[in-house]
Amino acid sequence: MILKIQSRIISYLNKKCSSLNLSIFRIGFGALMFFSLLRFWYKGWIELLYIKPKFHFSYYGFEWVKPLNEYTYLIFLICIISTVLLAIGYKYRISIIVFFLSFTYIELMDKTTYLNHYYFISCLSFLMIFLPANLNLSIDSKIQKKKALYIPQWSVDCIKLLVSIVFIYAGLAKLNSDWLFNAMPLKIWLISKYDIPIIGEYILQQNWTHYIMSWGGMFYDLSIPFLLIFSRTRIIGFVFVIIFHLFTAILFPIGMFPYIMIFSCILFFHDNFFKKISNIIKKILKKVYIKTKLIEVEKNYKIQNEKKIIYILLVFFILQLIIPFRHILYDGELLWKEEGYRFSWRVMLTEKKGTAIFKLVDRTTNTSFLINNDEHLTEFQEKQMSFQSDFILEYAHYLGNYYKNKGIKKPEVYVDAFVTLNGRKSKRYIDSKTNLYEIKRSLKSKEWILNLDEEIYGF
Amino acid sequence: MPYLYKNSTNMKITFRSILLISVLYFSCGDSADIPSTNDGFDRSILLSNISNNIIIPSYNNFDIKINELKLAKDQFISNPNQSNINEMRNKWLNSYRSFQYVEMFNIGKSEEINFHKRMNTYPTNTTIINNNIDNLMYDFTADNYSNYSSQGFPALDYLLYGLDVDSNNVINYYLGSESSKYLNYLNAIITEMVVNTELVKNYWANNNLSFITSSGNTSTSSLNKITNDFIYYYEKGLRANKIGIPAGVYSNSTIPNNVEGLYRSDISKNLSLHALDACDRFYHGKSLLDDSLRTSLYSYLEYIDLDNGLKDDISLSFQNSKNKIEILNNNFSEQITTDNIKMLEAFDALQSTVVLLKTDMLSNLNINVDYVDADGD
Repeated sequence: MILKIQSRIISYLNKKCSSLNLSIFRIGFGALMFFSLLRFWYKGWIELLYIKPKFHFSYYGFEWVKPLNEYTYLIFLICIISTVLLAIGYKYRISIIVFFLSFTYIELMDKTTYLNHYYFISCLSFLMIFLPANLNLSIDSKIQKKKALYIPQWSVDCIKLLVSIVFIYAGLAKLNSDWLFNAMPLKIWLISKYDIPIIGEYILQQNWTHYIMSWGGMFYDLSIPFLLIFSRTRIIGFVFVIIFHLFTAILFPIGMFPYIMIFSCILFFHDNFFKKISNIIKKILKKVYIKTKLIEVEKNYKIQNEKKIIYILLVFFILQLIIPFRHILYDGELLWKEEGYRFSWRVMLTEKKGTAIFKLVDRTTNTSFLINNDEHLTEFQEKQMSFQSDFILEYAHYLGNYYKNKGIKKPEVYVDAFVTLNGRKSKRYIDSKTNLYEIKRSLKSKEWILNLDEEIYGF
Repeated sequence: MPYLYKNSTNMKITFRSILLISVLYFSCGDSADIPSTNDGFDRSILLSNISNNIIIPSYNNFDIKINELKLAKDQFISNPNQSNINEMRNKWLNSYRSFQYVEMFNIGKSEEINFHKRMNTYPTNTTIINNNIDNLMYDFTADNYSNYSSQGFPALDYLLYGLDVDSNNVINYYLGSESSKYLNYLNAIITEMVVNTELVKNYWANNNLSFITSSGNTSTSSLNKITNDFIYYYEKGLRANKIGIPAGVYSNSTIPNNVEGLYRSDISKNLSLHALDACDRFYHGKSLLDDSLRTSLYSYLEYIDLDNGLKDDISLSFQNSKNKIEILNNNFSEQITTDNIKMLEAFDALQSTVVLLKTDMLSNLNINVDYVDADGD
């Protein structure tokens, strides 16, 4: 029995597929990231999100990762250059490492901008460090004058696995009573899209639309990986992917996310699909490209350190499977407290807004005053801070330190915070009698977050 | 071979579907101006009510009042005496009251020329005013704080009541040897106020239609901007400026000299109540002329119908704030020095409405008011 499994594993690991698959994926990934970063720059967000704020919200353990004033542009420049190198396949290993590090650094600079798809890109680029994506259609192979026609099937499958995890976990997260039985938060969001042509004024206003879209979204997320895996349903699955993501692109301000997801699904296609694309690419290249004559074809390409890499990826995927469930270590309603919420593919689950008014008490004189948040935070930071407890704590510490420097010897910081979740009436969010300046930052359960007093059933 | 063949037809299907879908997707963008056939909530009716029944009548009313002030000023300049200064004071107060109904609409021309800052920045800066009077040098057009704080209603408050510790002696400044300097300044301020008011009033006459037709849901659409203005005014203009700051909420001690109408002294409560009334009416869609409920944020919440009681909670919250302000002294400076707790209670009442408007209402209506349009997920 064990032997049988072992031989199956070995035969799987020996399975090959065309090297074009991953190489074309690399080109597309580089191009897509190139445009994403340019778009980010062009919209002025580097200035607005990383340079303008006086204070930045950090991830626990990554407080040392900060924007570098105007040098922040340099990080983006490095990142953009690496995407170009990725697309043309020059010095692949170095450029993917540089991309992973610079992109992840950018994301760690300020968690106000946290988005699941940024995290996805960090995960994906980490994975790609270990994959042979430059063996075809790359400058690297031209320089080395050799290319490999086949690569191990697992090197493509691990990206498919990551994509499948994203879909399945996003689907599981939708199995909750707010999403399924109240059509929340889609109801709120769809009603407000009344100005979308054709469907906005009538269809998006209907109760049944909200439920169909909630349930449809759930089934979509849970079934897409399976539709894409089997060749019989692949086409229909991919058509679903395109329709669904373009629809979300119209409905919601989610930037590049739909395009990244659509793109990530192409690896589910087989060799023939990529041969077609490569023929197109070659046709285009022929017009501008001088043909290199001598190309040695490596038939039995072997990944160096394959065993080590497989173990690294195994650890990576076990972590991927566990991390989204870390919320069970915390008490209380996940959607309300958001402890263990990020890095779990929980997308579009909440419509949340908050108001947080901070009070600084000077214990030496027993006087107090309220803080004007806009003196310290940008509009966007204040909005994100107001309903997330870790932001509230970090900001409270910033305020305490700020006023300590201004000469208040024993500052205490309290907050009046109110949050509304998925259309519920707003409720007090943080215990107003807790001196937040005294609370140490940690991953422990935050006793000072008040309960929702209502259970949202499900994942 | 047959297997390969099959695959390549599949490929064709894929490419075709991608093409078809992209065509469908991009053609969506062109089909604006589809006749409205909805049974839902019509935002352009809401916008039309806001402009035709609230904003424009309020500006027209204010325009009448400010022109009456101008007439009284002309009369006073040609014949400075006690009865004419009293007449001017009355007109000043009337127009100051009706200004409370337009201050929140910081949109279009008003935003462009910083109308509300020019009209109502307090505390007024008496040092700058006295310098201006002495030097006969004043250009009111620059966009800076020292300029804002030396014109508008608060500057008039000082010129009509505050030049002397005893307001009965103020008239002497307009009769003495330097009277022309004072009259000049009075004239310049009021002229500036009238000019700015005409600009804003004309803007609305010309741009009403574009306001109503911009009925989308982006940060630059009319409803988003006007709702943002409304909440901003409630939070800063009313809650913070009129009550919070003088009551010392943002500082270590109270600042009784920061009340609105400091020199006239007995009007700070009255002006606050008018400002609150303006917000209440805006929320309920009531015009300045009658109390009937029209299409409004209130009825919009009713349409969304999230069954959380929000729309009436906001109404009650307005009422509660009104009750808390009504029991205060007419003169907020006096209230602050004698019993600041009551001021703080009024502040808290106003604050709880801020939470309902800024958090609950904006969330329920999904009105996006950010100017940062960063991506979400």
